[in-house]
Amino acid sequence: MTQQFDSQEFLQDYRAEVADHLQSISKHLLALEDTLKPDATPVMILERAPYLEGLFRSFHTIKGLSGMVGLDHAAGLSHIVESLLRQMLKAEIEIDSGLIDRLLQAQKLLQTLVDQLDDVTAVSNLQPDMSALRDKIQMEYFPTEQEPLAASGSEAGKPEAAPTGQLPIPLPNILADHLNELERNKIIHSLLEGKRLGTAIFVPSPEKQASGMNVSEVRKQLQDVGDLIKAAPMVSGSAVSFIFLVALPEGVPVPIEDVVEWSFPNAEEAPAKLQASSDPRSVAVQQPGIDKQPAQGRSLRSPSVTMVRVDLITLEEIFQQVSELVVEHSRLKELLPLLKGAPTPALDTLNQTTNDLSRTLKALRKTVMSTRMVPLADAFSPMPLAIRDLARGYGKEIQLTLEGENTQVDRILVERLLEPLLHLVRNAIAHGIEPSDQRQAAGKPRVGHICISGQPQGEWIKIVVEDDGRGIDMAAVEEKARKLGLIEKGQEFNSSDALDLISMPGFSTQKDVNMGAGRGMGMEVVMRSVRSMHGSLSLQTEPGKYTRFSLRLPLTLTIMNVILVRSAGETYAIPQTAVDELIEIEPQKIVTVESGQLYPYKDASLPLIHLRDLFQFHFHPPQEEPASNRGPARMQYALINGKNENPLALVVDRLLGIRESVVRTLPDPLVAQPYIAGATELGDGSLVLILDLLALLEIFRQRRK
Amino acid sequence: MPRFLIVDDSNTIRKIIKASLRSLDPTFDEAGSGLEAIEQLALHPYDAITLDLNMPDMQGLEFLRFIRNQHSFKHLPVLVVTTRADGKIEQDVLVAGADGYLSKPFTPDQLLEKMLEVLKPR
Repeated sequence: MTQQFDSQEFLQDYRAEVADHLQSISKHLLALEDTLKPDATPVMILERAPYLEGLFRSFHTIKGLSGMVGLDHAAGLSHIVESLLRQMLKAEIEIDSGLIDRLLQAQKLLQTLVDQLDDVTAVSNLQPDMSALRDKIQMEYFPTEQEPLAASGSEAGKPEAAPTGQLPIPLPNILADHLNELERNKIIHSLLEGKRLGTAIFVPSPEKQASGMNVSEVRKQLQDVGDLIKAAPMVSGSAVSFIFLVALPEGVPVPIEDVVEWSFPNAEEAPAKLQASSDPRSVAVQQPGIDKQPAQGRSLRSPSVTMVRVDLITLEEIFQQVSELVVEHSRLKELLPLLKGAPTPALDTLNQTTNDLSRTLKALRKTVMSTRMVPLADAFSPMPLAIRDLARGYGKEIQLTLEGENTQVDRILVERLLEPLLHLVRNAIAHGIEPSDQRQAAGKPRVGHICISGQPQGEWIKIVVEDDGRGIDMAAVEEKARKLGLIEKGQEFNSSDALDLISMPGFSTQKDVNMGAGRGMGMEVVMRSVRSMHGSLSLQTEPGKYTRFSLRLPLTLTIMNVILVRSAGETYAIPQTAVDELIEIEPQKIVTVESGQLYPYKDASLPLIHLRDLFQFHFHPPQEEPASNRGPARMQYALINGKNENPLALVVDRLLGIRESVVRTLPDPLVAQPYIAGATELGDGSLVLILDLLALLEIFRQRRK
Repeated sequence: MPRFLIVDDSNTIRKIIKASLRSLDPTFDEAGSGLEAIEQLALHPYDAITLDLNMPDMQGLEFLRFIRNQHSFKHLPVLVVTTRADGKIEQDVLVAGADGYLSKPFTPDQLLEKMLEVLKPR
C-alpha cells in the first residue's frame, strides 16, 4: 500500500521556499541580461557562470519541490528550464534576450502559482499556461528530442578543475589543485584590485558549534568582509577542518581571528609577479580598473546557509507568548502597590525581582522583535523586474535607482508595502515618465528615471517613490474637482487636497484609461494600505519635472504606544503616532456653527469631533459619569491630528495615560471596521479597541459633507 | 534510537524526509550544505545520512567521494535522495559509494523502505 503525503501540510513551506528561489531567479536573470548589453565588460561576461549556476540550482530545487507536493506542471516547466540552463552552462546555446524572456516567463508563471497556491481553481487554470510554455521551449530549443535530456545537475554548472596553470601566489595544494577557471580568475582579479589573499583554517568543535560558530557561520562572516573564493574540507588523521581562500579589501582588519587560523601567502609581491605571469586564460581580466560590479550595483552574494528557516507560525507563537508575558508582568506590577504593609524584606525582594523581570522582558522582546525585522530590500526586490516589464509594455525607457535597502523593517510591513509600491511604480511609468522622444524634445534625458528610497527616521520609515516625468497637472485636478463640485468656490486648493482627490475611487483626469489603469484606482489602493499601516502619504509634484510620493510608515506594526482615553464610559486606545498634539478643552469656549463645533486654538479654529458622537451611542452614559455631573466647567481633552494642514481634534472625556501595547488584529469580518485598528489587552486583562484616528477623522469629514 | 543526518538545502524537503522517517523514532540533525554536513559528521556519530546531490557549496558526488575516502566514514550508511530519474546517475551514485538511491518525488513508504534497506547490517 502506498501512503501519499498530505501535500497540504507542506504547501506553506513550499510557497516560502519557492518564493525565495523565484526572487533570486529574477535577480540573476536581470544580472544576466546586463551582460548582454553591448557595453558589457569581459569580466561581466565571465561572471555569467555564477548567475547561470544560481539559476540552475533554483529551477532544479523548484522542480524537486514541485514534484514532492504534486504540482506536476510546475515540475515539468522547471525541468525543461533546467535543461535549457544546462545547455547554457555548457555554452551549447547562445544566450540572447529571447532566451532570457522565456526564462522570465517561466519565473512569472511560477510566481503566479505561488501567489495563488491557496486557490485550487486558479492553480488548475495555470496548468495549461505552464504546459504551453514548456512546449514552446521544447519546440524552440529541443526540436529533435522527444524529451529534453534529464539534466544531470549534479555535475552541471561546475566548471571542471582547470589543469594546473601557474598561479601568481603560492597556495596550499588542497586549494591549488582544485581551482576552476573562474576561481583562478577571481584570484588574479583580486590581486589586481590590491586585495590581500589569505587562507583561514577552521577546526570545528562541539563547543564552537554550541556557541553558534559552525562552518556556515564562519563562511558568512568571511563573506561579510571579503570575497570568498573557495572553501574546502580537509582531513588529517581523523580530524576534520575547513580551509577558506578569501580576498580581503585593503585596510579591512582580519576577521574572526579568534576562531580561525589565518595565513597570508606573500601577498605584497603578488602583483609584481602577476605581470610576469604567462597564463593566457587570465588575459581577459588583466586590465586594472575594470568595473567588476554588475550594472546598477546589484549585489548577488548568495544567501547565507547559516540562516535557519523558522516557520512563520512558530515565530508568531513566540511573539504571542512574549506578548502574554508582557501583560502578565504588568498585572504583577499593578499588584505591588496593594501589598503595602507586607513584611518589608519580602516586599523589597519582590520589587527587585519585578524590576529585574522588567529588564529581562524588555531585552527578550527586543530580541524577538528583531526576528521580525527584515531588510527593506525584500520589498524592493520585485521592483526591477516589474519596472522592466512595465517599461516594455508602455514602450518607455526607464532606469531605476533603489536606495536604503538595508533599513530593517517589520516583515509585515514589507508584505503590505509591496502592493502600494507596485501601484506607485505603475503610475510613474504609465502617467509620469514621458515617451523618450517627448522627453528629448523637452530637453530631458531620453531615459526616464525612477528612484525608490527608504530612509529611517526614528521610529518611522520614509519611503519615497519619485519619477522625473511630466508631473501631475494640478490645474487639471483642480478643474475636474471644481467641475464635480468636490471643492467649494473660494476654497483654496493645495497638494494634500489633490492627493485626496486623486485617491478617490474613479477620479481620473486621464482622457483615456490605458493599461494598468488610471491613477484613480491605484491611488485609492495606495491610500488604503498606507492607512492600514498607520502611515501617511504625501505628494509633491512640479509639472514637467517630477512627481514624488512619500510614504511615512511606522517601523513596526505590532507593538505601539497608545494613548488610553475614556469616552461615554468606555475605554479606547489610540496610537500615539497619529496624535500630533494633546490639549485641554474648556467646554464653554466651544463654538457651535452649522457644520459642527469649532474651538479657538492658536489664532485659528479647530474643528472638533466627539468620540461619543462617532459611535452614536444611544444608551445613557453609565452611572459613574452622569451627564449632569460633567457640568459646563468639566475639562475635556482633544487629540489633534494634522499639525499644519487641516488639523482636526477628537474630543474625549478623560485621558488615562500612555501604554506600550501589543496590537492584536481582529480579522473577523464582523468586527472589522475601517476605524478599528485592532485590540489590546490592559494590565488587568481587559480588552480595549485600538482606534484608527485617521480613519475616524475621515468618516467625520465625509459626514460633514 | 537511531540518529540521522538529513543533508538537503531545501528546508521543505528536510521536513518531508523527517516526517517520512518519524516511525523509526530517530533523532535528526540537519545540514543545508556539504560543508555543514562534513562538520556534523566530524562532531557527531550517525547511524545513517540522507544526501541530496544538488547543494550550494559542494556537489553530492564530490561529498560522497570525500567521505568515502575517510576512514571514519567509510561504512556510514548513505541514502542518496535526489531529484532526477536518470539511470546513469543512480549508477554514478552507487559507484561513488552510496548505499541506496531514491529519486524525488517519493512517497513516505518508499523512503522508509529504502532507509531500512540501507540500515541493514551487511
